[in-house]
Amino acid sequence: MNDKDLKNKIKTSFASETPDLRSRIIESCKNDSREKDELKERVIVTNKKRRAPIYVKVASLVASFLIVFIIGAAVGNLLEFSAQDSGEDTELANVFIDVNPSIELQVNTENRVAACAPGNEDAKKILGDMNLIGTDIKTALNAVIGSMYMNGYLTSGANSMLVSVDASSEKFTGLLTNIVDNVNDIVQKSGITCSIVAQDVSKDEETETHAKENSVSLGKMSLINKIIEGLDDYSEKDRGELSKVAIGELNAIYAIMKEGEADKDEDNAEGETPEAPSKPESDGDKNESGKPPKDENDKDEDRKDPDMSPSGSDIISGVLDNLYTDKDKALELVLSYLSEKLGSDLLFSDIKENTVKVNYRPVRENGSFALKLIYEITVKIGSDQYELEIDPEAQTVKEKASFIPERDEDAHGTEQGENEDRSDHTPDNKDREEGVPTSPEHGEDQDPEDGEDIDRFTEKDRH
Amino acid sequence: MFIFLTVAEAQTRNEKIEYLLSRIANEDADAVGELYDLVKDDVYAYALSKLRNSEDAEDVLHDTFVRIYRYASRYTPEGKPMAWIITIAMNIAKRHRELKSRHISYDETIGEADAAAESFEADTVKSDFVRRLLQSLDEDEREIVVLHAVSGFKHREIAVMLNKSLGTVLSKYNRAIKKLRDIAEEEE
Repeated sequence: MNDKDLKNKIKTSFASETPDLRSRIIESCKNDSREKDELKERVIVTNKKRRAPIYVKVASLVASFLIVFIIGAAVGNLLEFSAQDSGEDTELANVFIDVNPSIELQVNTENRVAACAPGNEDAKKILGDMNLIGTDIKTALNAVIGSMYMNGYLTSGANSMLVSVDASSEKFTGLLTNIVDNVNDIVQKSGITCSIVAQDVSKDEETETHAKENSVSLGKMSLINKIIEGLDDYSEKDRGELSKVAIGELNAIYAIMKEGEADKDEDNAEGETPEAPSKPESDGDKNESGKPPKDENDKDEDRKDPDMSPSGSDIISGVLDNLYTDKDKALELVLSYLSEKLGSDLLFSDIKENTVKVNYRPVRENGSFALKLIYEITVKIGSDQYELEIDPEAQTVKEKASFIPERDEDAHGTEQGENEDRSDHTPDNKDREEGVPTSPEHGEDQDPEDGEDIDRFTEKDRH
Repeated sequence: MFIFLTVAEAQTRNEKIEYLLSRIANEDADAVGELYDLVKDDVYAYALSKLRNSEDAEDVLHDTFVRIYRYASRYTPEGKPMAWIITIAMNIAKRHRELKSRHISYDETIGEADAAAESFEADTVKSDFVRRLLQSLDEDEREIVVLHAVSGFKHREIAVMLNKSLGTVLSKYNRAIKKLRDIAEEEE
């Protein structure tokens, strides 16, 4: 079922639930008229919009400019590659590896590293004094992944990685697959679970500028662009917001979006007659999207243009399998544990509050030191609070403390609640009680100062 | 100040809603009926997704329209009438839940009262798919899915309405959609 069908199903299913209250509502409105007249006499309505003082806007603008300028300059310096002695005419592919540390490697046609650079501060720690130049790609990946593990960026739990390859030459056909195979091989041998999204990218000026402005790698920005393309519409602000999202989350969002698209493509493919290929198919012509090969002269052109680059060539490995290995999975384990303990079939919605804290515990594994990822979870079910510790690798749940009686707090809470109830009925709080928004996009409890760019619909005289 | 449009001029759904709000602001109770026909599904779906109880959702549906009637004159047309309407429903649903938990709390502890106020009464929902949606998604996921799939809000608009980051909204939406796709495929 594709996204459109699913949305329709959600919409029609909910529509079938709507009761018919039309006449009751009209009757209530008519009865309300008198009260409304009385209220109108007391309420003075103005349409004046609250705006932030001009000096705040100017200060924000200057600060934003300085931040973009400083970060842009810093990233620009970092990405300057060291001189390489592998020959001036050698064709190179750029490989971006993003976990949180972001590392950029340049690889030659013999699959050897010609240069490497850290993309952020975390990556500087990972690369340290390592000299990867001249090593083959697998050795380099092994060293980088090993260093990430030693520095706690990859753990024995679930991990996510984004691999991006920018290569304009056909000589690098298969490099992306080769890297993914190598990474999978390395992490499996190390006993690490790692979901991977791998993509062909193009180092075009626009993407590079966006990446610098948002202090992310070209690979991460390319993935963000693909996610944004799947949105109904977008703004530059979205790009900035998504830049702050962790690689694991972006991988998950993209994988699910692609899954929906795949269903849609299957539906569309039915009944379509594929064009007969004009030339015998070579290895280089194959693509996973099943599209007919383009003219040989167009091939390089296509690879440079992100819009033409088929995202069907992306590799998504283990992302959906591991989708729930983080917080959701930990909560699932908690639910299963507490269901057994309490003898009732608990659902996600039974969890009233939860806090999930990721922690690392030093352990000795086979005589060597390692950091083990654990989740420290506090959940509230009904009036009971449980503090638990989850080992995601061993899938075990350990209880730290349970059933914190809240009788005293209850008594206080009830009293406080009654006071709140009384205070809510004061004339000053009339609007709050009525729940009428003063802004189209903000709830009543939000701080109006937070929404300086949001126009307010009304503002009433507090008398 | 309202810009009055004729029915023929009011082409888009939002324009129609704003036109009806302008009539309601002039105390035209019949316009409430027309507005009800246009947006009842959006309001009820939101309320049901939030409260998971059809009786409570009915109350929210009713009170939302009465409040729209009362305060339509305060709405300034800026092309986003649905955000204004849903925010009213949002506040009423929140208030409804608070009052319900306080009412129950006379003879129960706060925790038990909150649990009872939010308990899911599966029998009150007719559609199997909606029932399973309400059971399997958490509150944030339910709100986001309904606001996007039923009311057609963009993810960015939902992020502003719910005071969450776009990344959180996208992440929760996509996870919820994955769960719902599995449910829908099981049903087929």
